[in-house]
Amino acid sequence: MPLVIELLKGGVAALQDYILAHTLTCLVPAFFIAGAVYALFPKEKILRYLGPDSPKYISYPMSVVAGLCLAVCSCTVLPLFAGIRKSGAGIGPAIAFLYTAPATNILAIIYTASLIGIDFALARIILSISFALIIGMSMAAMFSDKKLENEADDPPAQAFAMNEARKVSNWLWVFFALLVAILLWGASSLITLTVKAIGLAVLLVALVLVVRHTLSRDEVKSWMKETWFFVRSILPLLLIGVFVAGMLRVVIPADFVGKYFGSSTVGATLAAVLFGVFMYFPTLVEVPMARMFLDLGMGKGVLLAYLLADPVISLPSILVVRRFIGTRRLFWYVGLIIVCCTAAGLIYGWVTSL
Amino acid sequence: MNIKILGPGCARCHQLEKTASEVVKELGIDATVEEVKDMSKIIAYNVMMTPGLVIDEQVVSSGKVPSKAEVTQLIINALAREEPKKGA
Repeated sequence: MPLVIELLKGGVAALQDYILAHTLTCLVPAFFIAGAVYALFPKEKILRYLGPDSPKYISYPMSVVAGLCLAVCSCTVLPLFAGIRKSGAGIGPAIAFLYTAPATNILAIIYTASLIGIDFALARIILSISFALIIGMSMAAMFSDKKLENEADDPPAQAFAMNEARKVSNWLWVFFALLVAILLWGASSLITLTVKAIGLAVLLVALVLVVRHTLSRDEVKSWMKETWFFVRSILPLLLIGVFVAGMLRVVIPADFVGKYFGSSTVGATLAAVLFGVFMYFPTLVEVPMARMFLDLGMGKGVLLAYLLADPVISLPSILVVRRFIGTRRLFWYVGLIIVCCTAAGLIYGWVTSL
Repeated sequence: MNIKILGPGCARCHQLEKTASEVVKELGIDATVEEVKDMSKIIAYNVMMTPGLVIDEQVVSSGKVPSKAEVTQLIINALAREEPKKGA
């Protein structure tokens, strides 16, 4: 009985901490940004560069951008991956996209910055993009682009039968920039509260003006709908994740974590990566889990390795991807991920201990 | 009329399926609405971003959840396309 109460207290304490510190300044703007990107980001502009005639120095960066901006919702990753593959861009850019999309999930990055630290969030983005390119190019070099039997033989040109191509006004980018500015300004710990409030008011007024000037009513409705969709589908799971992490924190002995995972040893880092690769957590839940490990004494390098490895692949998604690239390529893909994440963790751990 | 919703089963796809079924009922037309969750079939339609909406084997929307008004318009357009074929 006392244990149950301790567990509940741990969960509630975590929730309290979390709700106070993170909801307003970080998650609210983050959901709006995710909604805006999903609803309004000009997809055709990116997908156009992933066709059969794109040279490698365009198709690789563009597939990374696609992963950053197009796959905000994880269910669209596989159709996009297959589409990029079929369009002739080849297995390299397609794999780069496949890795980038879950690894640089906008909400997850913002949340990581807020809950764990900007250094981790930056490391996460930069390293994920680098790995995406490295792994993509390695796979392209290692395997000829032999298609599997279950892939239809539709002509590549059709892969870009898009919705009406909209003319993209420069104000749209101003709009996105303002959203990000609001997030950064609101979440910054470097400004006093009054300055922050005034600045936010100014930014919000600017945002309203830009929105009235640039977006149609339908677009605003679309944006709000998508934002609410993200809140509805992610927030409950997130709160549960925080609660469970709070409970686990009570149960997992800190000295166990500190002793085996406190410093960046190869074994600890590799174990963290394998845990991340094979365990499935819903989107964003890996962040409160990581925070909990950090509080229990896990080393920074080991933690980064876990954060890099967790979102990218899990047992369910491994099985689905296998149908597209075959067991042999899958084996190498997962292997490359494990190697890269472990290396990153070791390097980060070494760098931060200098 | 055959309406297919392409998607691996996420909440957006269910919403589109609900919307489409409602519109079909309101318009009172003879149409089947089905969800296609098989990834290889979805890709065969060259839909890169789910959810996708297919009416009579033509992809009319992809990458977003069209509003009820938009779905209604798409179905009406499809009906208009059918009419000449059924002519005398």
